[in-house]
Amino acid sequence: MTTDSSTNKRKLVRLLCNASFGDSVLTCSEQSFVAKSINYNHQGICVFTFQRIPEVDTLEIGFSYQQGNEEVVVDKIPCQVVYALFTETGDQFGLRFLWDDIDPAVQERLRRIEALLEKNSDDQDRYGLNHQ
Amino acid sequence: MSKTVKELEVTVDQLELGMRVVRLDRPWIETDFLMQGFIIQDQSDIDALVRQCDSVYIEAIYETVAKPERREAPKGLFARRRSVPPPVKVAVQPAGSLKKARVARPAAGEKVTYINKINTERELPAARNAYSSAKTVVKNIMEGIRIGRMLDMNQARETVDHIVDSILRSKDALAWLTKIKDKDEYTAEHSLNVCILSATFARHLGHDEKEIREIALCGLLHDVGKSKIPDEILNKEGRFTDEEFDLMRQHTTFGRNLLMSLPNADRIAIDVAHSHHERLDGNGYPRGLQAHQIPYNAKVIALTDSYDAITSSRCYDRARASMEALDIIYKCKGTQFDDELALEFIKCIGIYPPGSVVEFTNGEVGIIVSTDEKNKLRPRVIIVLDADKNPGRERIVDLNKGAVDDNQQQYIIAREIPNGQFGVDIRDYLKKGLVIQGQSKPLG
Repeated sequence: MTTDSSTNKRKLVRLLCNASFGDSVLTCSEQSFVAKSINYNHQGICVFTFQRIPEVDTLEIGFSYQQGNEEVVVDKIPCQVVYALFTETGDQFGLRFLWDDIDPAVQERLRRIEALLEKNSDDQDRYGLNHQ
Repeated sequence: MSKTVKELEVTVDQLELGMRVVRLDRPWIETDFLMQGFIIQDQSDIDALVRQCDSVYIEAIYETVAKPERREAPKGLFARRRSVPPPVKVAVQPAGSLKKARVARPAAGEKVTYINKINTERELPAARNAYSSAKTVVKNIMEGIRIGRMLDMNQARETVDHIVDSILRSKDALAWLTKIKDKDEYTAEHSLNVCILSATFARHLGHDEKEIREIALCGLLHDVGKSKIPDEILNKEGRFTDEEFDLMRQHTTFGRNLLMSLPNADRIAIDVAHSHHERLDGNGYPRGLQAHQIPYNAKVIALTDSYDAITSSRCYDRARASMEALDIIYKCKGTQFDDELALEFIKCIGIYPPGSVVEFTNGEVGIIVSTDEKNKLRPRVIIVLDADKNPGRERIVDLNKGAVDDNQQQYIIAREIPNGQFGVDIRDYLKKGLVIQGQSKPLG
């Protein structure tokens, strides 16, 4: 796996995956692993998993976003692992979607999820604590 | 004062974790217990005793005060016979159950409210000294255990006292120091950082001073079992193999055994060393405890431990920003972390904790000096670089007071950047004691 050398180049806001954002399913080496979806934009996603996944540079990911009657589902999106942090409580992975290898219709779905997430987020109260 | 160990009969509703059961109110053979005598390790042991007995006999320590030895009374004409009174019984307590551990955070009515007695800048020199000597103590503890020396609990408690004293004076000064990471000293720094973060969190939760010291001690010693892991695994560059991973996970049991072998270790510190990797959903280790079986202090340390692990630069990884660690804690509340404690921890730390290097939307770069309890997104910041990332006029701005830049635009933080980026290293500012250019005294 490679480490991230572009942490500071990312200009896109990483939106916190809210309750409407389902867990992610990672597929690599013909195995599937469930991971918590942490934060997201249409270019990539951060996930956290307690399962030990094989050491790979690329993998596929699927997840869904459901809001009211609208459900946006994406599956088998090719990703590059841009950073990996292994801790005793779980492993964190930063994944960049391999945009050029993604079907335009699926690209549109990725943008739609970002738009829905952005609409429901509050950058002054990321965790909704001001309303408690 | 001398101690004698005797049996004490207690009803099953009085049982607590850590008590040593030596006899039952019925023959062992009539029960499911395989061992005739054991230490209560978890709630399931208590449940089994409640199911099968009405009362049990536990090991109790009787402390007695002996009268001072007297000279033999003079014999002869002036001799007077005196009777020596029996020893005075001063205390009876079950072995290993010195005090009831707290099971939940303080309720609204019992919260202690703290105010900073001095500001961050003035506390920083004392905090720096406390941090430096504490780090030496932690390293000595870990190295001492490796060569077979016994852990000195009094030294550990003294170290914790210095740390907690600083946090009670000012909550942000030691927090600055936790942001400086030395990859070669990860294990010692991590133990110390968890101690500092736990004390800061306990203060935020409104615990009394005694409880803050207890939680901080648990933080300091939570990973003491890692001293039993070989250095080549502990400091390995790269991912652990499955075998190494399994060995690493045993540090919780090593820690429990190590602390239990000491004559004066706090019972709750033993519990935390053993249970800080347990999860609310029962998928933790080493015992897979259920939520109600996990000690409260272990739930607190699980949060501070994970936060520091994610934001620290281990020898084989790159540290992540505070916000990412908080995102993970937020998303794992209810499964890994206690729901309420997780939200309180996020409130306590804030997205931009003291010592964080941040970039503003106008391109300028600054370091967070201190945060406002009520508005963590609007801290006090030292501006250290201008919009072109050149060293400019250093000044403090208070975002909570609507500070504006030279173009009369309000300062808004865009993101946290890693320490060292653009040549900004918080060590430089710590060395000079937060004295900014053009001033000879610390800010205040």
